Amino acid sequence: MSVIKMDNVTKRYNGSPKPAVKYFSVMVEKGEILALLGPSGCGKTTTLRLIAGFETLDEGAIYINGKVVSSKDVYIPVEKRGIGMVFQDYALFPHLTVGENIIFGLKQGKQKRKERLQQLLELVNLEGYENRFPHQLSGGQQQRVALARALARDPVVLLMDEPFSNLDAELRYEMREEIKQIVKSTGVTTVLVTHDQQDALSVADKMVIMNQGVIEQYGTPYEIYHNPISKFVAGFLVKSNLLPAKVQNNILETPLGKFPLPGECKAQHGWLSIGRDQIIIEEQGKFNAQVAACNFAGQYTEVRLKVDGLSGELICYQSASVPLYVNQWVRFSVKSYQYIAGG
Amino acid sequence: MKKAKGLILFLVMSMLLLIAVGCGEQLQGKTKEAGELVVYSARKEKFVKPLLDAFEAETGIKVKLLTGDEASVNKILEEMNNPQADIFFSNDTGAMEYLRLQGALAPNDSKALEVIDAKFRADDGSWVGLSARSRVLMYNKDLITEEEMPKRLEEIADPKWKGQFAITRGGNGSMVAHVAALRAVWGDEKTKKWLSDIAENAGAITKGHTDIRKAVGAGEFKFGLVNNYYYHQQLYEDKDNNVGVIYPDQDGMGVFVNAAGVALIKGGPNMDNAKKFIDFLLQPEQMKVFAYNSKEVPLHPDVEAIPEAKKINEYKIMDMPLKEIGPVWNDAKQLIEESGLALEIK
Amino acid sequence: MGLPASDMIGKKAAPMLYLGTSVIGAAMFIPILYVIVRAAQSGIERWMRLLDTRVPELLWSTLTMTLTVTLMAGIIGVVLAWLVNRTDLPGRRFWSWVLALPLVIPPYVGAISYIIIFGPRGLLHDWLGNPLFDLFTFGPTAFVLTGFTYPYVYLIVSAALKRMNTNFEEAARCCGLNAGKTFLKVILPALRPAIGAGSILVALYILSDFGAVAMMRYPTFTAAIYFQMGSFDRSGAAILSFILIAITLVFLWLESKSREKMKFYQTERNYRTGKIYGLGRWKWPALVLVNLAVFSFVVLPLGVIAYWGWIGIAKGVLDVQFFRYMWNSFSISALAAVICMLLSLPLIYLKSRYPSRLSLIVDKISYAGYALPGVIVALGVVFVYIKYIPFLYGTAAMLITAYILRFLPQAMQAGDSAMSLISPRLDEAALSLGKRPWQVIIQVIIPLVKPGVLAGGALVFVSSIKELPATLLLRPAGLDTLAVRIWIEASEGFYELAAPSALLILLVSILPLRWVLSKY
Repeated sequence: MSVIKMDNVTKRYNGSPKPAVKYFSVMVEKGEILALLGPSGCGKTTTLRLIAGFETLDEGAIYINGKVVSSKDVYIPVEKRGIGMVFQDYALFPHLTVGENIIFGLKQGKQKRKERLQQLLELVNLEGYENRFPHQLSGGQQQRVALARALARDPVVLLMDEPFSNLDAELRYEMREEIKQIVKSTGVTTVLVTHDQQDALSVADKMVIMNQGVIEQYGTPYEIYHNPISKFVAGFLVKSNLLPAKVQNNILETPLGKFPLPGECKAQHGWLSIGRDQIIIEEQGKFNAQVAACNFAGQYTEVRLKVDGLSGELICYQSASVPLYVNQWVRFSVKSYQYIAGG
Repeated sequence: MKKAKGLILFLVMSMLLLIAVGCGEQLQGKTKEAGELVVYSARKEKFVKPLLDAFEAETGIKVKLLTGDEASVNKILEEMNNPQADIFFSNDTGAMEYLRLQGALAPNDSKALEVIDAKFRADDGSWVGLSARSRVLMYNKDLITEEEMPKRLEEIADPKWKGQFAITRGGNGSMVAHVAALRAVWGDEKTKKWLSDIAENAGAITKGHTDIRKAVGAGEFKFGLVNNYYYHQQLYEDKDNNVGVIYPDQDGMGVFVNAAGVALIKGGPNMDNAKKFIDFLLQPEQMKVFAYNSKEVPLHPDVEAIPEAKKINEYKIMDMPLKEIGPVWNDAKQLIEESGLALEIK
Repeated sequence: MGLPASDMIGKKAAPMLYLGTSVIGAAMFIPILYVIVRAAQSGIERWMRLLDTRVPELLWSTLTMTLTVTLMAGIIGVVLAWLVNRTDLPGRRFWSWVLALPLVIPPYVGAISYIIIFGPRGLLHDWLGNPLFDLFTFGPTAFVLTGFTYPYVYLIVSAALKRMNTNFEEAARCCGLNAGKTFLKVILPALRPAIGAGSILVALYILSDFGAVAMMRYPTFTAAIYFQMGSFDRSGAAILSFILIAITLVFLWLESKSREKMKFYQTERNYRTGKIYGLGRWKWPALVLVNLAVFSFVVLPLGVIAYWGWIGIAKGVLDVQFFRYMWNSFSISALAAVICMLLSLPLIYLKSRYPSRLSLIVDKISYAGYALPGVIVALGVVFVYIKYIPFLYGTAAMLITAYILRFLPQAMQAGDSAMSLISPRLDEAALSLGKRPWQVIIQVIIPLVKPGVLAGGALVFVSSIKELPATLLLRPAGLDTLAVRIWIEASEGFYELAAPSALLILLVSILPLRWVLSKY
C-alpha cells in the first residue's frame, strides 16, 4: 500500500481563474523519495503544502497511510498528520538552541528526549552542537538541524521545500548526497520540491514534472531523462534541441532533413528532440553549419550553430580539443534523437 | 555657477535663521519699552483678570499675566538676579513676607497703602493685603447641627470625627500659613501631633478647597476646614447650598486670618507702572472687584463686605501679625512633611 | 559603509562637522548635567530628609503605576494587534487604523474627558447623584493611562506580525503543536522584541508624563518634581529629578538589552501573508473587546471634547485672545521644528557617513532629552539660562530650547531613516564626477533626505504643540499657549473653555498620524 496517495486533487486560489493544481494524482510508496520538479509557479509548492495541510483543497482527496487527511469534507490539522517538514529557509526558531529546536515537538519525558536528541544529532553529524544558536551555524549545518527537527517525531512523511536552494554550488553537491543518505537510512517516505533539475535527478527515486498545475510526466529520473514524453519535459529537463517534425511513411520530415522514425508512430505531428551531447562536430559530419557563438565552460564548450533553413540555433556541447572560431563553417552529425508526438 | 548656488543656499539659510530670531524677538515676553506691566499670579485667573483688564483700559498700559500656583514664589526667587515680573499676586501673606525676607521685594512708600491696617501689610510697604481669608469650619446643615459641630480646631483631631470631614493637602498655601500660625501658639510638638491626627482622621485630603466646599455641600462629608469665602461661594450655588459656618476658637486663641494681597518685585522692568497698579488696586471700587469676585472680605475699612460674611471686626482673630509667618514658612512646611500629612495629594 | 568616499570627504569636511556636532551634543547635555550637579550640591541633610519621607512613597507609586500600565498596555496591545492582523475579525481593516487613533490624543486631554464624565462632580455625578467610583485612585488612573499608551505596543507588534516569517508557525505545526501552543511557544517569543520595544516606550512615557497624572491627581516623580518646584526649596526638585533620571536610565538600559536580542530575531523573508485564524465562537467576545477599546479611548474622549468644545465655541471662546494663544502655540512650535530640522542634518550625516565613537556618543546624548521628562528638561533649561544667558531669560527662547532638547530625536529618527536609504555609492558617484564634498551634501544628500527631514519637522511641530510641563514652567508672562490654556482652564473646572483648545490640538495632531502609521 502506498504511503501517500493523491487522487484528482484540485486547488484554486481566490481571485485566480486558473487552478494552481489540477487533477493531480500520484502515489508514493514506503521509503521512496519523490521529487516534484517544475519551473516556478507550476504548482509544486502548492502540492507540497496540500500534503502538509497548510492549504485546503477544492476537489479530490489526499490519503496518508490509507486514511483521508484532506478532501472536500475532511481536514486533518497539520499537527495530526504525522508529517515532518524542512523549510526553504529552514525556519529554525531563533530564540531556541539547536537542541531545543530539534526536540521542540517531542512530548516524551526529559530522559527520553535527551536520548532522542543524541540519536538525531548523531544522525545528522552535529554532535556537540546542541547548545549553539541557529545564527551561529553555517548554512549546511542549519539545514541538517532542520532535517533533524523534521525527523524527530518519526514522521510518516517527510516534506522538503526547495531544500538546496539556499546553499552554494559546492555545498549543494555535498548536501544532496548527505541528505539522501540520511533520509534513506531512516526509511521515511519523502516528498521534495525543487526547481533545479540536478537536485531532482540526483536525489529522487521517482519524479513528477509539473507544468501549470498539471503533471507532465511521472517516472524514475532515468526514464524521464531518456524518454521525455512532451516538448515541455524535453525542453525543461533534458534541455534538448527541438525541431518541428512531421511523420510520413515512417520517416520524420524536419527542417534539418529526413530522419528514420524510431519506434511506432503515435501522431502525425510532433517534435524531433536532439540532446545537446548528441550533436558531434566532425569532418565527416552529414550537416553543414556556421558557428554563431562559442562559450568556453571548462570541461566542455557550449557551441551555438547556425544551420540554413532553421529558424533557431542548435546548441551542442563539445569537448574542447579543437578550437572553434565564430563564423567558421563546420560539419556535424547527430548521434541519437527521439521523436516526441503531439503539439 | 556652482559656487553661486551654494552661496544662495547659504543666504537662504541665514535669512531663515534671521527670520527665526526676528520672530523670537517679537515673541519675547520682555520688551523693555514703557507701557507694560508683568504680573505673576498665584491666584485663580478668573479673580485676577477683571482687575487687569480694568487697569489696561484705564491706563493703556499693557498687562502680561502669568498664572501659576505656589510655583510663582520659586520662580521669583530664581529670577532675583534677573527679575522678569513687576507684580506678584499672592493668596497668602506668608509667601509675600518670605519673598521680602529673601530680598526679592522692593519697598513702597505710597500713601495709598495706609488705608490698610498695619497688621495686614509689610513694614516697608513692599506687600499689602487686600482681602481677608479666615480659616473656618463649614458644615452641611442636613447632616449636622451647629450645636453638634466642633467649636475648636483641637477637637477635630478626636477620633470620633474619623472619616467625617475633609482637609486640603499639606502643601496648600493657606494650610501652610495656618500651620505656621498654630505653631506659634501650640508649639512644635502639639502642632505636629495635631497634624498627624487630622491626617489620619480626615475622610478626604484634597488638592484645593473647591473640592471640599462642593463635597460638604453635596453631603459627602459633614464638615471641612476651609477659608471662609469658600463657604460664601457655596451659598451662591444653585443646589447643595444648605451649609453653615463655625468661626472656631472664639473662647481661646481666635480665628486665623490670612490675607490675599499684592507684592512689588524688586528690580522689575516696569517699577513705575507697578506702583501705579498697586495704587489702582487700593481704590475702593477695585477692592470690591478683588474681594467680591472670590467672595472674600475686603480689608479696606470703607468697603462693605458681602452680606453673608462676618465683618473682620465681628469675631476674635489670632494676635499674630501676618508678617511673622514669612520667616517660619519653610519650618512650617518641614513640620507638615514630618507629621505625615502629605504635601501633595495622592 | 563607503570607506573610500569617507576618506576622501573626511579630510576636508569632517573637522567642521565634528566640531558642529560636538557643540550640538554638548548643548543637549548641559541642562541635564546641571540638574545632576545641582542635586549633588544639595547637601546630605536635604537628601536624607527626602529619602526618609517622600522618595519611598514616590518610588512605590511611580513604579507600581509604570509597571501596571506597561503590563496592561502590553497585553491589550498584543491582543488587539493579533485580532486585527491574524484573525477573521469582521471589519479588521477599519479597526486596524481606528485602534491607533488614541496615539494622537494627548493623555492629559484624555484624562480631562474622563474627569468631565466620571470626575467627583462630573456628568455621572449630576445624573446619578454619585460618580459610582472614585476616579482619582490607582485603578482608574492606570486605566486611562493604559488607554492612551497601548498604541505604542499595538503598532509595533502589528508591524512585527506583518513582517513575521510564517514558516516558523508552519514549522511548529509540523512539529505537532496546535494553534494555541504555536502562539505561546513560537509566535509570542518571536514577538518578544517588538513587545519589549513597545513596552519600553509606554514605560518611558508613564515615567515622564506630567499632565495626565497631575490631572488624575496621582503622585508620580514627574508630578512631584513639578510641584516641588512650587515649594520654596529649590534643591528638592533637583534631587527628585536626579532619582528620576536614574530610574529612566535603568529603563533605557533595559531597552538597549532588548534591542541587542532583536538582532537574532530578525527574520529574512516572508513568502506568504500570515494565516488568518477563524475566531469561531470567540468572534463576539473579540468584537466586544475591540469596540470597548475604541469606545473608551477614541469615541468617548473625542465625543466629550467635541461636545464641550462646541459649547465653548457657542459661548464665544473663539475670541481675539484664543487666536493669540493659537498664534503663540503655532509660531513657537514652528520655530522649534525649523531649528530641529537644521540641527538634525549634520547629526544624521555624520552618523551615517562617518560612524565613529564620537558620532555614536553625540547620537546617544541627543536622545537623552527625549527619554527625560519635560519637567527635568525645563528645570535644566531654567538653571542654564539664569546662570549663563540671563539676557534671554524670560523669552520664548527658553521654550524653544526645551522643545529642541526634547524633540530633536524625533527629527533625527525621521532623518536617519531617510539617510539610511541613500547609498554611500551615490556620494562616491558624485565625487567621481568632480563635485566637492560640500557640493555633494548640498546637491545630493539634502535633496534626497528632504522628505524625511520635513516629516521629522512635522512631528516636532505637533509634539511641541502638545507639550505641557515644560511649557507651563518656561512660558514667559503673557505668552500662554493652547496646551497651557487647557491646563489652566481645566484645573479651575472650566471644561468648556479648555475644550476648544484641546479640539484644535487634536486636529493638528492627526496630521502626522499618516507618517507615524507608515513608519511602523
